[in-house]
Amino acid sequence: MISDQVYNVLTTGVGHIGCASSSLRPFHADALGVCCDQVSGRIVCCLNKETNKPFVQTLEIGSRVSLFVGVISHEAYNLKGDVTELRDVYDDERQACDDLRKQMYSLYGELGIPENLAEKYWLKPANLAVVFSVDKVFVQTPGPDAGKQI
Amino acid sequence: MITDEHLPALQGMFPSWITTVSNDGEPNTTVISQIWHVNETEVALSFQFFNKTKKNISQNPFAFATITNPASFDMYTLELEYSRTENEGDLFDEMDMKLEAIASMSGMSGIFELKGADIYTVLSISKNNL
Repeated sequence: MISDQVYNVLTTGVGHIGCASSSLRPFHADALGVCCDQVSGRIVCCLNKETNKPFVQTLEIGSRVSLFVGVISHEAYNLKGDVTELRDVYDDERQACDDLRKQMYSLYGELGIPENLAEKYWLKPANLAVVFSVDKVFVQTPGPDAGKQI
Repeated sequence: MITDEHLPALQGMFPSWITTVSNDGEPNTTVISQIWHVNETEVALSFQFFNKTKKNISQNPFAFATITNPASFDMYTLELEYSRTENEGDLFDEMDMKLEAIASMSGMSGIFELKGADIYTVLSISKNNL
């Protein structure tokens, strides 16, 4: 069960998802959008394959992943789970990525970052969906509760 | 390894992110305020409050990080191996002053206490743009 508070950060924040190789080398990828089923705790993390090759080449069904998501206020969470699917991005998920990208352009604009620079991070095809089932959620917001499992 | 091209991304003007792994294979990805340039083969991470990262590194010295040039938004990924921690000296003092200044500006003074400067060897650095 994913709380409304965590769901909000998942779907409006910046996310980075990490994995480990069989020799315990870490890699990560940058999320272009995250979809979430709050009841089942199923997360779909959409990313671009071409700019995340070490991560993509390492990841497989059953891999353990760590998804960090955070928003401008510094509220942040870390969700861990095991990968259940690796597949193409569905249309509604791609739409969620597009919506997030536009939100980010607006946010970046308020921070003085022009769209042509923001595009270098955000304007990439979302062509891989990493699906995992959440079994742990940690607070990552800086402060006394950082690291606490919720 | 680290050249002038990479230096703007090591100034802390844009957040970086890092992944480490425990010895039982569980990754941990988190965002950090800055990865510091030490020399052409070493960088430093501030040991503040990301205790899971510190714990993982104590078990498994490898890390994977991404840094961003704030002017161009060129991104670079670094494969790192933990070398040592410095708790005093010029680098530690520089990090401490800057982190406290950043914390003060964002109203979070005291939360960003510097516990040490973790020095990593850069095993590889790659540009990561599309």
